[in-house]
Amino acid sequence: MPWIYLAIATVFEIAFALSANASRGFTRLGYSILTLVIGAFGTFFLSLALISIDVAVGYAIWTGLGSVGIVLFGVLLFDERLDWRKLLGIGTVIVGVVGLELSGAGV
Amino acid sequence: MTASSPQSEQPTTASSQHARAWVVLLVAGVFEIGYAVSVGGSQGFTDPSWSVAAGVFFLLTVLTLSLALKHLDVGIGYAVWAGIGASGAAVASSVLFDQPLTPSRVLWLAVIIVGIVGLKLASSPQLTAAEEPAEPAARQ
Repeated sequence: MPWIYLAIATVFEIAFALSANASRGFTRLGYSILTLVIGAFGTFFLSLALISIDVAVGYAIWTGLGSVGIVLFGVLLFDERLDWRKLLGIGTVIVGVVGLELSGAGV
Repeated sequence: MTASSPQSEQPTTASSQHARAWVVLLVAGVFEIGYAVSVGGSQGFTDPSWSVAAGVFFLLTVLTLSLALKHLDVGIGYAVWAGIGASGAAVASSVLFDQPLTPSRVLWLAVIIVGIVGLKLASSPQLTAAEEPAEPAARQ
């Protein structure tokens, strides 16, 4: 269950970044409010996940997979280029998350 | 760097604004550590004082980060902020809670954090602009 909460929190984190971007530095009121509401939901699900996942592990995975999702959404929605740097970054985050879990250090 | 100018009432220079933005960014990174630790301490928002701290740190980190990014390259700014947040959260939570940072955990967390910083830098307009016009070399 904590990992499901963490996954939900990660989806909110991606939505948070997209909405924050659309708010243009919090100069558009509607998107600014939406950003804060999404952030509140994301924070709540992250806190549920962190009841049983250690903060260092849960926070790193949450923000790591969030960063991967933000880049992938940028490519899918805004035609951003998926260049070698982004692929390398995505690969590194995934290796870190998988390594953390397979080594048993993430429990 | 600036020579003494005859005008005494100068508006804020671009370079001092830039330096201030860096300070604000570092403060935002510290607020992000506070956010991560408080969200963990809130125990699913059942602990009142940690929950209030989480809400306050959330607003502070969003506010200071967006202020700093008005004057800094977004990719570099995000990279520094996220790097401080994730590594600081790991250290702070191990000190405050009974959550040990084992060598294996430090290793894999470092890999994740390097990946995050790399991803943010890869989205930097400033860092990627230099290479943009270059044609890919023809290779087989």
